[in-house]
Amino acid sequence: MSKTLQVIRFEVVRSLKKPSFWLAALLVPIMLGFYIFIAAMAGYDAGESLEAGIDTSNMTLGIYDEAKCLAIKTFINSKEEKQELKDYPDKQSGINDVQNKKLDVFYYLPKNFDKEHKVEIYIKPKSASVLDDYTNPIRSLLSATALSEVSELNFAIITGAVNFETTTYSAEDNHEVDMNEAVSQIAIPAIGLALFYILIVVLGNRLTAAMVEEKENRISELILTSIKPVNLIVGKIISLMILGIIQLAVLIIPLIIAYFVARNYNAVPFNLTLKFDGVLIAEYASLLLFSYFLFTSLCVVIGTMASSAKDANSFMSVIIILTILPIFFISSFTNHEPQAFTYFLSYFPPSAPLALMLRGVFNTLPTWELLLGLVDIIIFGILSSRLATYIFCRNAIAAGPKIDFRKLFGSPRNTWKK
Amino acid sequence: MPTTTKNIIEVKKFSISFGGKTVIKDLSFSVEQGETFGLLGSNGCGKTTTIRALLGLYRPDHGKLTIGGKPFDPNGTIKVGYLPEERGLYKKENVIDTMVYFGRLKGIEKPHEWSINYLKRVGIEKFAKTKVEKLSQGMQQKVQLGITIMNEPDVLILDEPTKGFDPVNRRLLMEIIEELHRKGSTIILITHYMDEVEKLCDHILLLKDGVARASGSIEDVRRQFHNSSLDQIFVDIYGEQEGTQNV
Repeated sequence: MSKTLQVIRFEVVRSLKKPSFWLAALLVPIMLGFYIFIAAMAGYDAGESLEAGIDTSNMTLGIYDEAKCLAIKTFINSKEEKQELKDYPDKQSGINDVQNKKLDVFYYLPKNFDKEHKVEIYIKPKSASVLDDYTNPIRSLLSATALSEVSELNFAIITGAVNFETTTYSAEDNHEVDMNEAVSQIAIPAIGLALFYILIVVLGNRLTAAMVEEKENRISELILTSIKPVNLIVGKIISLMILGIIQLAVLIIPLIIAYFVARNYNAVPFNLTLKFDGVLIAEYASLLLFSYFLFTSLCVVIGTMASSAKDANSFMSVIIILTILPIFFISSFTNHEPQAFTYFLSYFPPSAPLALMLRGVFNTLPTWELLLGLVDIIIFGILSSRLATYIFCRNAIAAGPKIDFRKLFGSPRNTWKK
Repeated sequence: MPTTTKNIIEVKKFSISFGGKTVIKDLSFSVEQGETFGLLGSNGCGKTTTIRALLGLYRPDHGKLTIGGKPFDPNGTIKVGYLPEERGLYKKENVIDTMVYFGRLKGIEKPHEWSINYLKRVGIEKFAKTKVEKLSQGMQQKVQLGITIMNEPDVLILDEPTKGFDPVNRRLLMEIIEELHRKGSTIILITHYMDEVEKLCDHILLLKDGVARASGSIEDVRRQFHNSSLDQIFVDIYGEQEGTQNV
């Protein structure tokens, strides 16, 4: 087995043995699983909850309509039963009943309701949250009153209940665009973007720490008599990438399982029907992979320059800011015609991964540009790993944090050439 | 010093400077195959710098440093073992995993078996599964020595190998060095213990301020200094520059 493979084996195996690796990888899925478990146990229905507000079927409801605007005082509650509101002769008696727990909810429509458009609601929650929504009964009564005075069409127009159906034709050949397919085309770069972001946040510090380890523990001299720096650096980069992919898989697989479990329990508020295009997935999977390669190489450069993990962390923040730069200028990605600055971010290597993925999300990235961006990222990734090797050759046994850039970038000795 | 085909290490007109300060100036010496060579000098005189340059860890400003006629190459045919003065290991890893990793990098067969046998010999086999950071300094040095010699190196470079060892372990280390020497390894020894030099070294070189002050066999050097002991010679040469720092 080559020395590079030995480095990969050592680095991967020892990381997989560490409980901290699995803790970091499993923390998010465990928390998500816990949420789904609680939601399932509680019989929580996200969709129903969002739409219906609180269930009033077991409550006593009262109303005083001083404005005399309501046509009816009966509504259909969330259990599809007719429920009537008790009529009160004045505001204070309704409030008193709420305070004395004789009434759960009291609605008061003041005399000037036609001008102020404000309904007062009085409640005394027992154990439920004060944030529960009690407006549905009165909304139903007001809607029914409005409907009795205008036509059904006018009511639909006023309340925004008109349905719209859009047919979209493709720019190239006038064929009808499948909206599920269109959503899927946005979803793939969006998923890539989310995964890349997770990799940056979760693994950034580990990448630099892994490179500083030899220097911090004074192993450089011992190891460099056994292996060429280029083999060590390449081994480190590949092992860090493998560990990142393992960590991502550990994160994603439970998420996918959790999604389907949650859907079975109706614990997701929306229903996705995605159609995945294999070529598009391959394109964005390549973009994600090589973006991670570039990010890893940049972190390794930082790791080889710094003399300790503490030094590396301060340099790392610069790399992370440059990488997530497109997020700060997200508005420039929403235009259908990308601006010059958008192109700059798309090809400036550290920001290119997120910029290209964002353009994919906003559907402004033609395939040829995606491929050009990939080439840009791959070339810069390779150059960065080469730079990391050069720096490591010169800085591997540096005694302090100061770096002699003149020596750092001087011509390499033949011995370190591959 | 004239060089012959038997010379396995050759340093010719080697100069190096750091931050404008010349540390080594026009240093030349050679080491014959199979001999034990003592590189001596006070702290900061350039011994470690010379070794690092020989191993390609520093780039010389001038000169040529070769092992087996070529600049050092970890993948080369000449096996080199180096026990550096600045010693460290992967602290969070256990002893046996660390040794096996280095054994694989050095390309030895059965690194696990070799490591266990070595740990038995130096009396720390029960710590094979212990994390390096839990070991005493002396035990860590034994592990580092094991890593250095595990590939039966053609050239063994030991930078103050007995520093921090108690007399028992120092004797054990000397035995291991002598054993390797008998097997034909060329040894470069950097030490401040003159008894070790007298016992082990065939030739020595005394460095002062980056310049060779004396060199040759121990008897030659003694003659140059009116048959004084090596201790006395050391004091005579370096007495006035105590407290200098290592480079």
